[in-house]
Amino acid sequence: MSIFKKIMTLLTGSPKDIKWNSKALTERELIEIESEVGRHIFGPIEKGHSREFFCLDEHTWVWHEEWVDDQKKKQSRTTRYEIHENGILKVRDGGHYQYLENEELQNFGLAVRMYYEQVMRGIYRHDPYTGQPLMNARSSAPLIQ
Amino acid sequence: MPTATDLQSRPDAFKIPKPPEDGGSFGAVNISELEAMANASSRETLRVALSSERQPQPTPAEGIITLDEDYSVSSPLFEADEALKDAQSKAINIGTERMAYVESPTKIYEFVSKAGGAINMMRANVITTQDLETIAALRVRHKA
Repeated sequence: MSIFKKIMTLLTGSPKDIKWNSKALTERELIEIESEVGRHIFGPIEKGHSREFFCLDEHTWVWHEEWVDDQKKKQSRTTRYEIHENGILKVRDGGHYQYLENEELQNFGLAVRMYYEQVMRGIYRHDPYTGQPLMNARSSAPLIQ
Repeated sequence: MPTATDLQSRPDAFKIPKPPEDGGSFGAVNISELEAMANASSRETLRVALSSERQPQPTPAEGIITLDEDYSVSSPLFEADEALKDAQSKAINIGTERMAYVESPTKIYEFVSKAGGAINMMRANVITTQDLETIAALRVRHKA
């Protein structure tokens, strides 16, 4: 099972337990394709590591990383970033909760901006700031500022 | 993951991703693309203004313009040029906006909130319109 399927199963349940219709399957595929963009935002991935970074839904972003430690044991860590009314809550394995602030918040914001711009342009072929198809991306109200 | 030596030789990449080491701290983003975009916007504003307003064009030796980090501009030739002042003002505004995004938690929060919604909307659009051509292209891209 790929790292992406594992993390999605962890977050949304086993695909075998869900009667996937074409819509759900396609959405999952789209997220997987987006994650290919997300995993490269942070530069080269060290040998032996694998990484996923993607927007799970409107209010949730996910970072997942796996690596092999010095004792040759496989390690993994999943971190969810939840958008709440009073801030962005980081939820780590084991139930650690913490609101993002300062440099960490800025880094997260930059990563989301890069993800958003690259996904909108590279995958969906839309201007990230007007929402228009790239061929017609002129003089329209901003989609996002 | 880049080493310390790598980072020293790559000033555009700051810090390394931290989740495995410190338990999930969001420590690293390569912002070279974002910075390039900001710089391109500012410099382009200056370039366009100068090339359209100033005749004749300066020789290369005369036309050296220094664009400092604070977006101030110095050039013996253009010091009193109104067009330059206007361009500089625009560049400063652009720079201020970029910096405001980086520095303001409120702006970051607003952007992150909207970005998730916009991406979700794009997914839904592809799915509900059954844009098979787009889906097929995405699948090909994914397999490639």
